[in-house]
Amino acid sequence: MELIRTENLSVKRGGREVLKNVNFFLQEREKVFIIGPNGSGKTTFAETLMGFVEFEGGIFFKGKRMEGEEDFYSLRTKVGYVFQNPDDQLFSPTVEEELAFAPMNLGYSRGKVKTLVESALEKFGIRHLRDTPIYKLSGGQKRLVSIAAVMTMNPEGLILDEPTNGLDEENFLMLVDFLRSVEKAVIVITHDKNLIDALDWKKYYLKDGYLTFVK
Amino acid sequence: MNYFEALGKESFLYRLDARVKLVVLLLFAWKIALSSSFGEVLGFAPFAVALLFCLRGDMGQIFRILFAADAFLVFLVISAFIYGNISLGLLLFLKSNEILIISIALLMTSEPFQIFRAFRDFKLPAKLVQLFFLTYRYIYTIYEEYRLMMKSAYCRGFKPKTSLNTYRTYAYILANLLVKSYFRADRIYKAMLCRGFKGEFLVYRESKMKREDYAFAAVSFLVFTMVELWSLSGQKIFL
Ligand SMILES: Nc1ncnc2c1ncn2[C@@H]1O[C@H](COP(=O)(O)OP(=O)(O)OP(=O)(O)O)[C@@H](O)[C@H]1O
Ligand SMILES: [Mg+2]
Repeated sequence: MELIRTENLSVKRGGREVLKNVNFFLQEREKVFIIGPNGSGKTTFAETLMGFVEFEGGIFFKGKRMEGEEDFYSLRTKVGYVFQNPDDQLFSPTVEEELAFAPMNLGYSRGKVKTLVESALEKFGIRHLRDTPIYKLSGGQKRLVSIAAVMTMNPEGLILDEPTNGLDEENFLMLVDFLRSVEKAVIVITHDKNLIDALDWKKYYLKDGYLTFVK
Repeated sequence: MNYFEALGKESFLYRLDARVKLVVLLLFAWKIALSSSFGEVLGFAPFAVALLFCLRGDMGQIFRILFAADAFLVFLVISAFIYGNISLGLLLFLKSNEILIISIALLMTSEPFQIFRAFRDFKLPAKLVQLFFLTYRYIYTIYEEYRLMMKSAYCRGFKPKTSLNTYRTYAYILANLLVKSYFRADRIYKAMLCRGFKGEFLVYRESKMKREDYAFAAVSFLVFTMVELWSLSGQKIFL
């Protein structure tokens, strides 16, 4: 089953064509890398999929064409997007509230929210940070929290923009382990050679606005 | 130095529900502020002092706050003295310090977001509370960003002088701060949308009133009533 597809997706930013006729396809539970030089439009691609950037062409989620805000609203809760910079993503007073934010919005029962929050705290080894105010976290800790905060939404897909930035060896290995074992479709945007080598995934290369399949 | 840290984390005051603390604070502050009797105001003093002892916080820090306020108040007392009304000056001084001490003990022992939550529970308009909260949340981030940019300027040989170059640097930093804040706000909003935000902040951990909270409320109210009765019964032992 297909999860996300784009059809001749083109995006203009600041008068420049950043994405040109991108045709991309992601199956359910498929995992891919998107690599490419700085400024090549990787983040723009992710933001376009989430419905934050004006585009031409088509974006399909499970075969359904995304037409307006309503469609993107439901897409966003089914595809978790982890921002390139965690400071842009975290806004709650404490780590626990941050993790509970999405499932509360989705209207889950208190019990279910609790289960999701606890399991995310456990999985990312951040239980001891539960009551810590966000602004007191280190860069790497923020990164972990920002990934955990979309996992509690229990999405079908994940888009992670440079997820290894600022992680130490131990947390890097934990992330690799997580990415390898998670049973969801995953798009990882990265430059990190170590991460690309650690995971034998399909690679897409984005350059000069064109997306090409590498392996 | 962190300006957003709650005081007295080891004391029971820290563990009390912010709602109870707010109500008690309002009750006492209102009464003390409106009182014009020395006896009544002095009657409340033991309560304020007791709170201060319960706080067991960094006394140095607390006295610095009191001192800063008193430095200003001293002028009031002096001018009252000049106009020959020393007792009024002293009363003002006493009242202000009492209210300040009770505020420190009850307000600054809460994490700021607990206070916002209490506001929300008291049915202050939700939008206003969110505004408070986000302002509080981002002042720190913006301040950090400002410091980072200043550091970066210093690392590249910047020395503040009264020169055009200095003003220009400050102007750049300020402009950057504004632009950054704008884009940050935009991305934060997107991040909220990405996690199903529909315009209402929901709170996960609702605070529940504990036995401690009821006990504190009861004791405070008892003290309050006793002082009031005592001062109403006209026992004017002072003045
Ligand atoms: N908000 C914006 N307004 C105008 N132009 C933008 C905006 N954001 C990005 N761009 C431009 O779009 C192009 C692609 O940027 P994007 O952030 O998508 O690159 P990237 O591949 O993610 O780079 P990096 O590896 O550095 O993260 C860049 O030329 C950038 O200048
Ligand atoms: Mg990017």
